[in-house]
Parts: sequence; structure tokens; C-alpha cells
Amino acid sequence: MSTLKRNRFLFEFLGIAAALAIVPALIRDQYFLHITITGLIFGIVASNWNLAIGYGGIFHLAQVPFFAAGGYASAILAVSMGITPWIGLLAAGGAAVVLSVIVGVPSLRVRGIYLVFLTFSSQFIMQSLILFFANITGGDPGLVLPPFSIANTNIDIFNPVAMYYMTLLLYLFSLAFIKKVTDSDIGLALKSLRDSEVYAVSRGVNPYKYKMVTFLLSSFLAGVCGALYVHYLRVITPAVLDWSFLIMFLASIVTGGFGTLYGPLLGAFILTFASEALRALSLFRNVIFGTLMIVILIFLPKGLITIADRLLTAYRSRTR
Amino acid sequence: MTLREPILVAKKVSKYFGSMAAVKDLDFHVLPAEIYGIAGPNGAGKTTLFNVISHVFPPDSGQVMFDGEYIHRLSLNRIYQLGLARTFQIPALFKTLTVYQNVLVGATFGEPKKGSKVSKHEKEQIVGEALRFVGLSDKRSVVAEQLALMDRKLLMIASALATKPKLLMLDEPVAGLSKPEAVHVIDLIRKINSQRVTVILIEHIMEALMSLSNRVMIMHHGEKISEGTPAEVAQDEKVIQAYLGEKYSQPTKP
Repeated sequence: MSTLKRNRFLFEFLGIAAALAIVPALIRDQYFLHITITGLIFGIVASNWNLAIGYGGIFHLAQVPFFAAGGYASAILAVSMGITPWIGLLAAGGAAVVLSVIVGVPSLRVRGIYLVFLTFSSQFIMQSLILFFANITGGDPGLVLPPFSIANTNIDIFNPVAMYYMTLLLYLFSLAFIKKVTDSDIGLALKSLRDSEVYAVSRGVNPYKYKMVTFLLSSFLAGVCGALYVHYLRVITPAVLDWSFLIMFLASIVTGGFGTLYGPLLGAFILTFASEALRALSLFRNVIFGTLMIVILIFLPKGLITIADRLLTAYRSRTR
Repeated sequence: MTLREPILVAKKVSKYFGSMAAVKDLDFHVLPAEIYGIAGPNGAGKTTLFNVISHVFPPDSGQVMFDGEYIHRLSLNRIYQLGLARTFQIPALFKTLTVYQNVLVGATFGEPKKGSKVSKHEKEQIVGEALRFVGLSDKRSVVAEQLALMDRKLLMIASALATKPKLLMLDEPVAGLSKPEAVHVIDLIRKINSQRVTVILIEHIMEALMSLSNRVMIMHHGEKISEGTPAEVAQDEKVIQAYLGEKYSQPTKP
């Protein structure tokens, strides 16, 4: 049974990789690619957040600070010390993990609303720190950043095809990583804690340990994405800590599918494209998004990915 | 009576909720491989006692010793890895996980890992065996949420057995079941006990409790009012008082 499941994942993985790999060949529009890249990056951050809040029921709000910590770590290294963003990517992941320890040690001992508040506060603390250390962070105006480059070719917003494939590789890595984690003992512990903490503990699961591990794991790629995003845009400002990111990542998870493997990416794509398409509506956009979110929560609590699942099942039963 | 060392000893255990003593200065011990029954009217403190022993919350005072080790100050999940397992009055389950995965949680985290981890193959065997034992083998792929009450109770027992317990604490395993279902569970408890697993049993259904237990403790208002063999306890004046009120316990004059 487990080999069948593994084969199914491999099949889906290759399908997604192939489908996403041909996108730049089909659509050459630079603007379209830009939106797709943004969607992919948001999809990775949301997918990793989903590991904690969807699979683990650890409802924390530190994902945007992880994202921003990664961005600033790489940015500061590049601007102050001239370190290449390639190394910056790893440093960004490292910085996010360090932040996750600092935030996680006190806040993962509590649950529910207390966890929400404690982790949410990290956003404000970070904002103040960025402004306080303006001499290295660039303060409010931020920093202009060097791009990723290979053999004198820049990979940034002006070269979206290369950037697209780089982001896609990171997404595929993220997908395999999340699958591996959720199938492991860590994943089993997480899901059991989510379903019933008292019961899980009574079967020997150490709640603090597994929550901490998940917190660390889900922060790493958020940090990497932060660096990817800011070097792609060639600029970083305190706006990486903006509310809109929090809403976007959370909405991606809810729209796509809470606690599902592919849902967050689907949600991120839908929302980035919809938000561009509805740009003309300005403030009304949020009204539409808000309404959409409520409708989805009521009628499709596991997100839009369930529609894809149903279609697939229907298709299979017809071909059989 | 016997020279066996008790597997569980509770000394002067108390637990207060506000100023109310849910469990008060309670002393008792359980011998290896016996079935020890706990009964008492609603609100007597039986489940609180279970929660204190199994660490849902620590006692306010007193000590609990399990298998020669003081456990009342150990970390939450640790005592379960020492070989103590429990079930809950309202069936607990991992509702989004399959029956198989529910038991796998016990097999994976319930045993202390001395050096090497339990291998995947070993775990599969432990889970398979536990499911066969309770009779849930054919439902292994069912998502737990879809199970009926009886199966939920059986699943909870299977996941407890997968932790390879020395002591199994059952909180009202028979309550709410139909007669034939109850008979099946009672049978199961006997089978578990015959494999030298010690059992502590809370049960409202006296018939089940009296027929299963080697010794019984009756609790009332958080205190032990009687202890002994089922026959001794059933004739204890204090027990009759606790259950029926003082009016009925006065000896009838000739």
C-alpha cells in the first residue's frame, strides 16, 4: 500500500514539474511571468506555513517575520559585505531558523490565542529593530540589492525566464521536503497533536519537541524565499513585513486547502492572479477576497483543491 | 497476603479544584498482574484520580510511584514511555488519521527508545497484532472519525496496547455499550490481563466491575471509603450508604 502511495506522489510530482516547466514556453509575456514567479514564491512560503498550521494545528503568525528575516539577512550580507546572494540564500534560511528558535522557545509552550499573540508580536519587534538599525538595514527607504547572477547573466525581474526556473526548482524542493516531513514520524506526531493533544501525549508524543521541530522546519524555506524575493525585486524595505503578506499567505492556505499538500500553491496562484486582475477595483478587491474566503470556509473547508480531487476521482471512475 | 512488590503506589494524593477536594489524601496500591477496580458515585473523583496518576495534571500533594519510580514530577509524555497507558471515558481518537495510523502513534512514541529506534517492520507488526487482538484488522484503512462508539473504544485500547504497557488504565470501557458489545470488551480485558498486564478499571456498571476485579476500591467525595475483594466491598455498610443514602442503610429493627 505504501509503495502505491509513493508512486502516486512521484506521478503527481512529475506532472506538476512538467506542467509548470512548460509555462514560459507557452506564454512569453514578461508581466505574466512576473505574476507567476510571485505566485510560486508565495506558494512556497504558504506551503511551509501550512506544515505548521495546517498539518500541525500550530496556529502561529511568525511566518512573515521568517520571510523578512531571510530577506534582510541576505540583503545586509550583500550590501555591507559584498557577499553573493547565492550564499545569502542559505544565510537567509539560517537567519529564519535562528529567529524561529527565539520566537518558538517561549511561545510554543502555550496554545491558542496566546500562541497567536506571542508570535504576532515578533512582527512588531522586528519592525522596530529594522528602523533602529537603519545604518545597516537602510531604514524606511530600504536597500538596493544586487541580483543573482551566473556567468555574468543576471537572474532578476529583468530576466524572468531564468528567475522562473530557479523559483520552480525551489518549489519542487519544497514539495518533496514537505512530503517527506509529513510522511515521517514527525508528521505522525504533528497530526496526532493536532487531532487531540491530550490523547497524543498519553501515547508518548512529546508535544513541545515536535512543535519546535516543525516550527524550525517550516521557517527555513520561508527565509530562503525572503531572500529570493528581495533579490528578484532588487530592493528591500520594511514593507516585507507588511500586513498584506500575512493576509496573502494565510488566504492562499485557506483558499487552496488547509493541511493539504498542493492547496497552498493553488491558492497562491489564484490570489496573485486575481489580485492583479482586480487591481482596478482598488479597495473593493479586499471586499471580494473577504467574501470569497468566507464562502470557501463554509462550503469547501478543505479548500479549492478538493474540487480538483473530486474531478480527478470522477475522471478515474469514468475511465475505469 | 502476598510478597509481590506493588506496581503502582499512591501516597496521600490530593487534588483540589479551588477549595473543593476532588481527591483527598488517597492511599492505595496496585499489585502486578491484578485487575484493580475503582467505583463510586458520580463526582467521587475517579477520573480525577486517573488524570492525576496519568499526568493530565499533577497532584497538589502526595506521591505516585510506578514500577519503582516516582512519576508525579516527570515530564508529560515520559511516564507513558515507562509502560503506563490509559484510555479515556469519552473515547479519544485521532479523527483525521486512519485506524492503522491511530495505533501507529502508540507503537511509534509509546516505547522508550534505548539507543536504536523501533524499526518500521517491527512497528507494522506491533500495530497489526494490536488490531488483530481487538478485532479491528478489517477496518485498518478506515478514517477514525467514521467509527462507531464500540470501535472507537476498541481502537483506543489497541493504541494503548501498541505502547506495550505494563499497566493499563481503563476509564469506563464498558459504559454506553450494548450487552453483547460489553461482553466482548470484558472478555478482551480478561485476555489483556492474562498476558500479565496489570489493569486499573473505572466502571459504573457494577456487574462488569465486580466480575472482573480482583480487588475493588470505592471512592466517595474524593476519599477511599472501602477496599477489598468484590464480595467484601459489596457488603460494606459505608458503600451502601454512599450509593443509596443513609436512610436505606439503617439496620432494620426486628
